[in-house]
Amino acid sequence: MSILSTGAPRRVTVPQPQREGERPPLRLVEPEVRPRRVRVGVVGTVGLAAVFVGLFALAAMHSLVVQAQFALDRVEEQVAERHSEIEQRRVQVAQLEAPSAVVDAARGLGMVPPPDRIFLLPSREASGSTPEQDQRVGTSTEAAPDVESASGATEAP
Amino acid sequence: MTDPSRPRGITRPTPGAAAGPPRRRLVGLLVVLSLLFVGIIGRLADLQLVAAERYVAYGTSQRLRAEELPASRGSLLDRTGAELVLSVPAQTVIVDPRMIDDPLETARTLAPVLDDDVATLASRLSADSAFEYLARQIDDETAADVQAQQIEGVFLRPEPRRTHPAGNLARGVLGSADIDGVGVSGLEAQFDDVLTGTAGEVLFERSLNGVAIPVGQQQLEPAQPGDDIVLTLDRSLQFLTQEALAEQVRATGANGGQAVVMVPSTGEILAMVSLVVDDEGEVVPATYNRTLVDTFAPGSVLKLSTVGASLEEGRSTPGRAIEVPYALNVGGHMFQDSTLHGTEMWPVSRILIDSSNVGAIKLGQELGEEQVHGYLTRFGFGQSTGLGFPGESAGRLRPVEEWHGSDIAGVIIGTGVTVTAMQVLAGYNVVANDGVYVAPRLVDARVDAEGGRHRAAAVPTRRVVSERTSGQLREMLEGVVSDGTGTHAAVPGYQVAGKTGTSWKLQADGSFENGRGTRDYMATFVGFAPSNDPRVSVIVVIDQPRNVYSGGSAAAPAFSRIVEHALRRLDVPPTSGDDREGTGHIVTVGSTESRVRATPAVAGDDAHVDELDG
Repeated sequence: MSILSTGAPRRVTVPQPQREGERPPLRLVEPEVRPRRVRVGVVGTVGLAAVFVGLFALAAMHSLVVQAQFALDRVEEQVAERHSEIEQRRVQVAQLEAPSAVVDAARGLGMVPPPDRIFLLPSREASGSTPEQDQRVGTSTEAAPDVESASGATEAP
Repeated sequence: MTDPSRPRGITRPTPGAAAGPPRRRLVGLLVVLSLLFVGIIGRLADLQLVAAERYVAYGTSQRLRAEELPASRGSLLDRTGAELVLSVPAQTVIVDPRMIDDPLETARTLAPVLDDDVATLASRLSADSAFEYLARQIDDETAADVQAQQIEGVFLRPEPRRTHPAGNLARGVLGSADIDGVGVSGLEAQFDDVLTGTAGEVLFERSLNGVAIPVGQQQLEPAQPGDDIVLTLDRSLQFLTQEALAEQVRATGANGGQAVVMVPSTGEILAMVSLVVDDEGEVVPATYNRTLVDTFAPGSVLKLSTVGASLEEGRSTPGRAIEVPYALNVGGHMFQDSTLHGTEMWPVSRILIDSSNVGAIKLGQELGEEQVHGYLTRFGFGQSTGLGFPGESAGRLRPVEEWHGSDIAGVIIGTGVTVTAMQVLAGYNVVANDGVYVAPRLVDARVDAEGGRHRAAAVPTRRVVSERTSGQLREMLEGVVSDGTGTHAAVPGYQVAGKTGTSWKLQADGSFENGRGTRDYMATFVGFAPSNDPRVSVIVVIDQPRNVYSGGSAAAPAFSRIVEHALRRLDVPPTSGDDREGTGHIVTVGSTESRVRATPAVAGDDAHVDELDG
């Protein structure tokens, strides 16, 4: 049994002058307790790889965001262009609908103001009009001839 | 003693003699380093503690850029929603001259693109400022050309441009806005606060070269466009009225003309036309609204008030006979009728139908100054119509206290009063509305940015004369057109009521004599149709006609054409036939099948299908 385990006071050995041909006494030496060895290289490599991958992912994501932003900018630009185009068309429509433009176009097509105008009014029996309507057109239907045409363009029924 | 073993001329430096002792040098170095360190610490404290906010703000200002988003100005629309004035997107070219290295070369590059001269552009490009306009409100194509040049320091900025798609139509009424979008005349000025929107702002982070940083800080406050205003004007009728009036101005050799078309029952103004003859002799739209701004002596159209007052006050009936001499002395001045006649007994109705000055003055003298003035006021003369139009005149109707001598006679026959065309028409609408005055209105509604329509407030009304008096006046006005001075105002198929007016033109110096010592005229016709159910009322004023001068000859023909257009535009059917050549005819479509073919009309929106089945 080891003296270390006895708890007894350690025996101090006084070095004796070694006699020739005598071996030194053997003693039991306990293995040295050393902390577990950390593999610095592996950890470092993994860490670096993680940082690299993280940065790469970040850069990639940022790149995607930038691309999306550019795409968004393009879309917004297109929207603005279309909006501007709509407004321009709106002006063109208003210009083409302007009475002076209509008249110019009609004249260009050879149309002329009519020498005569014909008004059509429903007769009382044909219209089935309400008393209120009758009151409004009654005078005309009574006063006007059934069919009248100076130009001959009207065909009698 | 010298050391004989040491070479001559070489002396050993005495320790501490030249550089001092090491201790002192070390202390000095320490002090210097300490001072440097303290300086650095101080600077750090200044940066991080004392002036931190200032530097943060400075950095932010370098990074962040704010751009104004211009608000679109509201449109002016006619009663059908057709655009009369609107804003369209445009680009403005601006420059930061500090960023231009070679102004002359840049000017040479931009001159052909912007269609401007090199010298002008060069002066702007070399200006001692950070901001200059190079071209404003250019179209998209030109803006693209400018952008293609890629000139550093030259930028494009959106700036809407005001546009009148119908050209000069109603320009005097609509007015104008300056290049900064601020209304300066007409309705543009009157409703500037409604039409003007609120500018927005976009705030974004930018890189050194000015490009927006993706996913950087960004704030957007969108612009709020101005509200649209829907007018009571009818674009097509405005055009037809303008054409008819221009034709009459040319035919009479006049200096210009005015015309207003209204719906008497609602006070809605359908058309307002002001024309002048320019330096080249062309009849063109006036730059301002003469119908509300210009005043003139109305002449005989004002007799309506006195005759109406006499009827309303029970002093006359339409058949009451009055002795009417050819001339009458009032306050030392002789007033006479336009046509020679002996002293005759005329019914009151004939006084209005034949427009007798003497008869009207006699009726007015019976009423007295107070009542003559009072009824003119009740008919709306001498006061604003309430439209609130910029520059609108109230005319001139002096208070009774200022009347002397012959003034009452001048007021009665319309030479001692000045009015606007709008006032006269609103006064005649009293007769069309059975004795009720309806204030005119030009705005129908306001449309906000969300499309919400807000109707304009109802116009005030007031009774001026009784329904009976109004009916009697209406019959007299019908007589003016059928048998009196206004026969040229007749409209085929409709019964028309109206009154002529012929007066001397007030010159710039306040007199009636022109530079040649003669007198110029203002010819007027005002009335409504159909007289039994008035749907439209019109006034035509011809300014200084030359070959004819009376209201019945110079103004009435244009009135007839304008009323005809207006009634067709409003889908008012004719009430009687007319056999005159070149006029309308009524065809009654019976129960049996009928087929009618007619020539299509060519006038604005009036072109229509020419084949109908009964």
